[in-house]
Parts: sequence; structure tokens; C-alpha cells
Amino acid sequence: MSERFDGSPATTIGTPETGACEEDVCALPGAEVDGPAIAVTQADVPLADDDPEAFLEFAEARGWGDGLPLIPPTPERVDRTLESLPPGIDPDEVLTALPPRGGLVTRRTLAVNAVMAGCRPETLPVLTTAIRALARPEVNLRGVNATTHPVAPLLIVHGEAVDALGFNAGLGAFGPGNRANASVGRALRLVMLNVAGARPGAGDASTQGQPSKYAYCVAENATGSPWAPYPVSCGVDAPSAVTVHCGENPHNVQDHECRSAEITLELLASTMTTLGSNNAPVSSAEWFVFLGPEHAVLIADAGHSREAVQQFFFEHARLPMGRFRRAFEIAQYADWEEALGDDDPKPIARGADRFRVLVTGGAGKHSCVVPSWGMTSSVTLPLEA
Amino acid sequence: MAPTDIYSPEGSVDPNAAPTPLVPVGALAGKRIVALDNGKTGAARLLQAMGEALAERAGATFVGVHQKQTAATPCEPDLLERLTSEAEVVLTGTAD
Repeated sequence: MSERFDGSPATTIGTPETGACEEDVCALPGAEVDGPAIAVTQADVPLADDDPEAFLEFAEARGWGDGLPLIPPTPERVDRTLESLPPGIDPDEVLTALPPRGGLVTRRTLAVNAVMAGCRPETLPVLTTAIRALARPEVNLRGVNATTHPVAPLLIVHGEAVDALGFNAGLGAFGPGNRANASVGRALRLVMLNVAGARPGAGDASTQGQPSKYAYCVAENATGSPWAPYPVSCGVDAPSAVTVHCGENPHNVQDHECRSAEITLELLASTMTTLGSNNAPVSSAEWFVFLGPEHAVLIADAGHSREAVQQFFFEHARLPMGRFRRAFEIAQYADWEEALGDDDPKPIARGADRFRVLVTGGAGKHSCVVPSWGMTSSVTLPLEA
Repeated sequence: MAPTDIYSPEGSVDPNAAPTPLVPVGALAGKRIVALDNGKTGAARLLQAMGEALAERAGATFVGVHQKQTAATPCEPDLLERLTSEAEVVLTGTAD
């Protein structure tokens, strides 16, 4: 009998993944602990050949990475990334430990993964801030990484950092084609795989996965937005900020006719009024609504504030309570929702503040919504090295 | 290129969060086993059967099944306390 980190006794028997058990004594796959609670500060993995194909084979054999080509994290490359930080910052300070593996996070470890993903050195603080946000308890990262749902953390960049670091908030903001969006999004996933241990089958039980588990990073288009920058709506007033939201891939919403702001809003609401997302049985879950600039201007010109848009969704994204009851025996609803009659319209989310509204993208009549995993909340933090 | 050393991208592991070493089933003789149901459909039935089978095999006592609030979040502290007061071994699982 040994003790868990919370002091409770625990005994582990068998292998959850396979059920196999040899001589009644088993080891969990990938469960070996390779050292004390100190950060890795040395480059100590011998690499004989840094040819791209050879390194891909090398990394694959060690279970590193996402299956795509990687850049070898040599000390020179990692140092270049760390040298971009402001003076006085300790690259080996342990910032957090990421579940389910309990991998320790330092700026050096983040820099290693950033190098492998192809990040420019100056983007490291975006990755660092995103990891700080993901470590917040309301994110519930253990659940996010371990669930059978396809959830991936979406990283959203706000403010001066968008232009200064080369993030794309315009045409094609969700990708592909921009190095900052692609590489920082990919680096975040590499940290989940390599440090957090969210590898399919071991730390990540996602039934099907989803494409955004490769890279999921976008930037807010503040110049195309008729409203205050998104972080301000969350009480974060900083030159630059980062938001993380753990959810599905974006779901497109097209309205090319744009005959009225209300019709556009109704189309958005109808896309969220679905029983297939985790938001349906978990009404505390958030929806992220990314308006294209043209939709946003149409809506704002009709006199709608961001708060009015959120209230519209709360009032219009509804289905009869009986349909929720028929679909789900296991659900997380507020008491007032549970008290509704079968014919009463129940909102897809229990409050207007559950609908998060911001602008991204370029010309065109498209917006999108991003459902949530459910038992998680988004976090917005000021950019910090 | 000349051989060089590179960093591992995995870093190190917090030992407080590392998996607990496994023990032989025989070590459970005389112990009490309780099951924690994550709330997923069928979990209670499965854990009940597994708990009873394990107890019979190991010479232990199966206490029963308790359900946590949701599969998506950690076990509630008061339930965890109850589990550890009722048994020396907690049988549980993740996912569906």
C-alpha cells in the first residue's frame, strides 16, 4: 500500500488499458518515473544524425511528437529561444505540472517543444501564458486530456502580440498558412503529448480525435471588431492576452444574404441549438462565437452590443425541455432548468455569459461557433513571459 | 552533422503525480475493497461484478459501489474520505 499525492491510500491492480496481467504484477504502460521532482536542464539525449527524415524516425521511436516532421531541439536552438526572454527570468523555474502524466513545466521544456514545432523564439511567452491558463483548476485539464471526447485546447491571442508576433487574425485565421498560428498551436499540442502525456491510448482516450489536436491557435481581429477587445469583457485589461477554451473544432455558420442582424443571429443560434454537443447535457458549458468582421459590423450597426448579442443567444438558442429529457438521463442542469415543463423552451446554456463573443477572420460572410467539452471553463490571462 | 546531444521534450515527472506502483493480487487478502463509479452508463454494474470477483479471488471483502458526481471531474473530497474510511482498496476506472 502506498500513498497518493493527496494523502489517501491507494492500491493499483491490473492494466486499465489492456486488462492483461502477468503473474498478477503489472506495470502501467508509459508509467515509468524517470527522475526526481527537478527540472530537466541538460541536453542529454545523443543524436547521431539530424537529417530531417532520420530525426523523424528517431523521435517516432521515442514516442515524441505528433507524427509530423520536427526540428531537433539542440542546445543552440533552445538557447536562442530562451535568450529572447526578458533578463532575469529563470528558464528552469517549475511553473506547473500537467496531468495526467504529471510532467513538470519549465520555460526550457516549453522552449524545447517550441523549437520542435517550428516556433519563432519571440512567441515563447504566448505558449507559456497558454500553459499557465491551462493549469488553472477551472480548466480541468486532467479531464480535458483524458476524456473520450475529441476536445482540444484552443489558444486565442489578443492585443498587440497579434501583429507584433505575426499571428493571423484575418483571412484564414484558423489556418492554414501562417507560421505563428500553426507553430504555436502545434507547440501547445506537443506539450500536451510530450509533457502532459496526452498520447492516444495512454493519456488521451479520445474515441476519434479531431484535426484541431494537431494545432489549434487563432488570433482576435480587434481592428475588425466593433466592440472592445475580448479580454476587456473578461476583466483583463492588458496590452496583450491569451485565452484558452477547450472544445471541438469550429462549426461554420454562413449567412451570405445578411438581410438583417437578427436573421444572422438566428442562424448562429440555430447552429448552437444542437443535442449532439456536450453543451446540451452540460448547460454550464461555454460556446465560443467567432464572428467574421462583416457579420460583426452588420450586428453592431443594428445597435447590438456584445452583451446584447450574448443575451440574444441565451433567449433564442433554445429547445423544448422535453427534447433534452428524452436525449439525456445523465445531465448537468441548474435547478431552474430541471423545473421546466417538457414544452418549455430551455436554453442550450444556462446564462448569457456562457456565450463568448469575439471577432476573427477577414472578408466574407462566414462566422463559426466552437462547442465546449463541457466540464471546463475558459481562462484569459495577460501575456506574461 | 557531427553527433550531438539534444533535449528530451518530455521534461521530468512530478513524483507526487506519478502512478502508484502495482502490487500482487495476493496482497489484498483480508482487505476491504470498495468501488468508485464514475457515473457512466453501466459502470456500477461492471464495477460490482469486478469487485465481487476480485474479492473472491484475493480473499478480500467487497464493500460496495459509490458514485461520484460526474465522470468529468475528480472525486469529491467528502466521498473520497468516505471511500478511504470504508476500505483499504478502491476499485475504479475511467472513460465509458
